[in-house]
Amino acid sequence: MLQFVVRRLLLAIPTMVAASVLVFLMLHLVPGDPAIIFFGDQPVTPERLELVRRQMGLHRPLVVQYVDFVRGIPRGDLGRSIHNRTPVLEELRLRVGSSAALALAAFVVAVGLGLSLGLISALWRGKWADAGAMLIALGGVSMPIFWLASMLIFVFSLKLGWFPATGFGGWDRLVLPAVALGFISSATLARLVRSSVLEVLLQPFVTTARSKGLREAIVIRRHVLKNAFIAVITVMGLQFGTLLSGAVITETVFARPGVGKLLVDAISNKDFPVVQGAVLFIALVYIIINLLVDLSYAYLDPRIRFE
Amino acid sequence: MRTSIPASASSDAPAVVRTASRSLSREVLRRLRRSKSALLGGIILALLVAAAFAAPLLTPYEPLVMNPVDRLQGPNARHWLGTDVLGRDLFTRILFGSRVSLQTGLISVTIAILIGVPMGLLAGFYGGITDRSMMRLVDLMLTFPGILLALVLIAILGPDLFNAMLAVGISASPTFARVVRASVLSSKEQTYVEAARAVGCTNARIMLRHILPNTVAPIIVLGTLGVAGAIIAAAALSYLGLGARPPQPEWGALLSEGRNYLRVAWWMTTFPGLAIMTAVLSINLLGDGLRDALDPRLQS
Repeated sequence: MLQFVVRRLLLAIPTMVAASVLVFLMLHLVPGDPAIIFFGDQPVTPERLELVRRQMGLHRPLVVQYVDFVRGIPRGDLGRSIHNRTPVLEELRLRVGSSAALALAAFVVAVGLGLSLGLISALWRGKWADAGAMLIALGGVSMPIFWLASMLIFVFSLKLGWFPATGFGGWDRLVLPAVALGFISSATLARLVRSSVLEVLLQPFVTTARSKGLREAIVIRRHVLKNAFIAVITVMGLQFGTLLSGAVITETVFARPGVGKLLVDAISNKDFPVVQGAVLFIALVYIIINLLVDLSYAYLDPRIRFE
Repeated sequence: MRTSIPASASSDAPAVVRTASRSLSREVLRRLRRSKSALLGGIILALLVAAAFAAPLLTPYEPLVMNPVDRLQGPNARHWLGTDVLGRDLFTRILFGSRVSLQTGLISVTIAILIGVPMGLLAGFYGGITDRSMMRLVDLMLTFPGILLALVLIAILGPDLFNAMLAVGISASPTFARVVRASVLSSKEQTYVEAARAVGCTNARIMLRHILPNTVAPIIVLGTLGVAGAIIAAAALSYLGLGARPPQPEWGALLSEGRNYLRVAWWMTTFPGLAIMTAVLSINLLGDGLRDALDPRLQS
């Protein structure tokens, strides 16, 4: 297992380096001078332009800029926001809590809902419950998250007044965003749980367990769920990616001060250091989550370790 | 799956290919017709496309003409889906918006196919360093979850509708590259490729005439489901103000306009969202049906 962990950790390094190169190059791939883009339509003196160019470090060779950029990452130096001169790390630090709370709550909703819908559908295969559960899942796949979020705000906040519509702090502000984000992510999971459970139900060991006279609930819990979970965990990890990108939109709709909203605002304001920092942060979280998923997968299924 | 025969191998070959592809398409249609959900999806989609084409005939209003007297009216006999803050008829705007949104989905997927398919084809066919470098690029692109890569590209290209299509297309291309590569890897070992090589076909000809036709089934399936994803992704970018801009009646942009009037004009948000959902649902149903009919191996 240790060998597998080390190998998998080493494999993650080139991906991280490549992600950092892409994020770094982003600023230089923008057509035109980034300093001029920053000023937009505003009139600007050549001196001021030169000053901003120096502040952004654009006067140095590209390789030097990249090396500096990478060196800064372990120190937490991701540059400063062009907009308000705050360190990018500080901007991220202020918002990570909100995003983490949303991601975690949405993950709980997604897993709870996805497992229940998938199980109901598989155990009552071909019945109305199956059709209903899969229809809900199909709705989740086809529904734009920003629409679901707006509808939740309209019904539960503006009409019924049960939850606040926007902002951060307190569990009541977390419910609607988590339900919106979790519901959308649960759809894929529900479909996968259904097919995995159906596959396991056909295995001989399930027939054996039943013929031993075990109660159906025990057969499902001990034999079916445990085996169906291996495939499900991988997708749960991959769904975290959907969750991260969905969070970008959810945070904007609910005006939650998270990393996703920071990114969208920074793109609109052409605040490239913040865009770089936020993208790098989300990509790193995604890479780490995928790493953890692979490790847990190997832990659950010994065959993976010896491949 | 379709197998083509080298044209130069026999004088009857084109006829054989035509017959084979005709019977395949007939078989696919037969299987599609058997799936009620795919049929339903196909019918809804056909109606949506017809409505998009016939938009000016279906409404007496213009999508961009303002009429402040009628502003923020709820659904009524004159304005079936109500009006927006500038008095524009919402049904008309959604109808004309379907032209923009459906086109956006199609163009984005076309871009994804134009980038992803050659990548997958070259990587799978040549292998070695070509394969490794292209697949590393694909892996790198997949490091950015979902809409994040599209956001990065929008940050580089600048926010507008064409750039949004380009961004969505580029970020969807790695999936095409992977699927095509996998398909090419299995096709290139087949005897008909060996036969084509033996009769002196060039690599380009083998790739385009003999291997590419065998990757068409997964491309059609992925492409169909991809249109649904692209419509949602492009609408999301427009909703965030990074795609279509007002007054363009794109569905995501319409929803974004309605966001500030949710308290007083629920219809401005509800109906454009329902339009997106109907289109995406119908395409997903059709795509699922196509997957089962064209390539049962792709079933999850």
